[in-house]
Amino acid sequence: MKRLGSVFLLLLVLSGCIPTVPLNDRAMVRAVAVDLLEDGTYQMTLQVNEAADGGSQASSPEQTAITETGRDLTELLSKASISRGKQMFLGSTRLILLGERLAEKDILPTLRFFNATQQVAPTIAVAVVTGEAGELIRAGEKADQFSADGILDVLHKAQEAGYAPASRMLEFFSQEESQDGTPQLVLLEMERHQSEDSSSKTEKDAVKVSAETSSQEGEKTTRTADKLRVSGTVLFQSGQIAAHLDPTQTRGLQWFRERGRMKSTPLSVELPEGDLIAAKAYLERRRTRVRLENDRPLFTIQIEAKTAILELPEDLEADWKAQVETLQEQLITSEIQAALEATMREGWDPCGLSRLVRQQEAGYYWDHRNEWENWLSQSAFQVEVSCQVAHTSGTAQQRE
Amino acid sequence: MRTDLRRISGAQLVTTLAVTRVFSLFTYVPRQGSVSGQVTLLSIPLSVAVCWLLLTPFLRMRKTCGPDLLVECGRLGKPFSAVAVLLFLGACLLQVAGSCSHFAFFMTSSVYQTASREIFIGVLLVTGGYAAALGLEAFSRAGSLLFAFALLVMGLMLAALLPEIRLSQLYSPLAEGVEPLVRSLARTTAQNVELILFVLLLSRCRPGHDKRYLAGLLGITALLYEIFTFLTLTVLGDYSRMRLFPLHTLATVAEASVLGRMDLLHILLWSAVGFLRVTLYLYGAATCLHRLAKRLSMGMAVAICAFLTGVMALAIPIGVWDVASPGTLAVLSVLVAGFPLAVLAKKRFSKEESAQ
Repeated sequence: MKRLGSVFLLLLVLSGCIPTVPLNDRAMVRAVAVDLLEDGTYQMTLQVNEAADGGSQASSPEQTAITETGRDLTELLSKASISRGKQMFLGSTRLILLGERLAEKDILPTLRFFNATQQVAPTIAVAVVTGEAGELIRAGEKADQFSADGILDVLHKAQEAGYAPASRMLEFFSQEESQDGTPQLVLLEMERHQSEDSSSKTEKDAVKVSAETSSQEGEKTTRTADKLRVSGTVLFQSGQIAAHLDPTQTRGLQWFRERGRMKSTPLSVELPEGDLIAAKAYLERRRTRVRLENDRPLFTIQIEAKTAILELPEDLEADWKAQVETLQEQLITSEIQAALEATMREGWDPCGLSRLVRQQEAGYYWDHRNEWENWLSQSAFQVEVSCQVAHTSGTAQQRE
Repeated sequence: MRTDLRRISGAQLVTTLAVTRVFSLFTYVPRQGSVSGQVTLLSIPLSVAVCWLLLTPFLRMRKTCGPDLLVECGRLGKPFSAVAVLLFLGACLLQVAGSCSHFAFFMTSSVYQTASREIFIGVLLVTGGYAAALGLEAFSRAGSLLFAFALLVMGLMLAALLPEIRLSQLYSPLAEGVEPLVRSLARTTAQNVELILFVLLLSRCRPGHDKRYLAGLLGITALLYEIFTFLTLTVLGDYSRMRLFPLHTLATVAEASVLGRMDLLHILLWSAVGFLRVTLYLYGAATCLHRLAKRLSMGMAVAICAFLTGVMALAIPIGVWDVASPGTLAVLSVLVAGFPLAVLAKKRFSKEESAQ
């Protein structure tokens, strides 16, 4: 046993002989943006953290953006390594951003490249960016909200509110590899708000960064407040954008899809008198079942949600709670139906309903699995929503 | 080098063999050819029953004839004994070579992509050979410790993966009929090659608890396989088809708050398990070689086996080492059931002759 221990000890000591890369010679890539340029070449923008050298006054790692263009991603990473004199380490990468043009053409080669890179975890977040994805990374050099962590914070909040789907490489490829699934990714957009004196204007197209405008010191009256917006979901077929869901349709899907979060989502309704009741809702329970009716699947979606009323007007009728609950149920039902209309009716299956049929109506699934798109579009849906006002503000409780 | 045979405890044998069996879990893909992972979920417990049936003649032989299969084969004549020893020797050598080949393939494809596989094969054989030469009692103690470490790592992974489980990925394993289940059962049973070592080394344990040891080995390994098949199906879903090493992928998905990604723990565990597996099979092979050439010291026998397996691992391409092939099942059946049956038949025949 002692001799065996000494062998292990020797191996541990010898492990120093294996070639390693010192931390200072590594650039920790936090986010990658890939764009397809008009001439068909790729542009890769990397958000990297580099260890501050000893002489530097900065104690925290320096965050910089590196942009390279080339024909393939391996070449681009190699170019970035050479230009910085450091090895690009993808083990800390948390986010992949894909430009709109690339998403319209084919994102599969790009994602397969990262999937084949062992350093990249399958749980990495992936998003499509309206316009050029690299601009978002470059904006992160000056504004923290566009750093990888800042973007991920926005994504997580949007997911909790139901406005963004789970958008990781794992889910994307899981859907892509399944025979019937429709892969999906979240769509991000950078909004640039520019105010000049008291007037303000919004440039939705986004793509100029706050850094550029704030550096124009001569123009004292110009201020910027750029922000990141989650603008829904993009559905893919064979790696190309096939459809786009707006945030409301996206939330409609999150109400009933497996693992949709819905922890806290705003749910405002308007009473017949015109009074607005603002609330936050969270999902209590969901259940989707399928059975055959007239030889086609009938999906029954049952949702139980609870809401906390945050704002409500004075002088409400005694049965205001029941009214509000009914209106909230109608709102959720309409969102789900809008989402179903935009997806299932077109034969898209972003929620994996085929798996449900495979579980609950196996015979039907195996008989029809090759024409899933057709029979999904002909399926019937029954949505049953139950809302309960669980909390009210102090004023409302007194009124009760 | 000691050549005397000391006893080890049954628990040590079971835990060492169970952790050795874990090695094949690392290169394991639940979806086998055209058979889906759901079917594998059902075939794993069924394979336990098949393995138990295969081992029944051996257990009977231990009770009625003698504890050591190779010694009992020796009573059936020298040629029969030589064939039995040679077959066991060949099976152990193939397992060592296959393990080295798989280990080197994983390390050069996932960890050190620019390193050469010869280094990994060489290091594994040298360290494994040295440990094998120290004797079973030395490395079986290490095996028990490693088993505890493996359980800890797997427990951590399981806990970290719980939030990722999606039960919608599951469906009836009989949805595609019985034929895929039969194919999957054959493959899953063939993966239990550790039964060869169980048959070879059980004589080194205290007698009288054979069934308990076998139940322990089959139960532990089936449970581990069932858990990881379930996790691969429900966490990775169809994504697992894109990955060479689904267990490694699970480890990268599993994130514990303090430890971060668990793939490093996985690599550490696999390296240690690879070392133990090579050690154990080298020991088994050397024991067989020692029986054929009694003058050969145990250390020399290990060195010869290590050299042979090194050559085999380098010469034979990785695709050949399919542990779960029908050929493996045939060899496994002959070794763990065929020879004990022959011993039992011979005994019965002798009894009938003497009765007449």
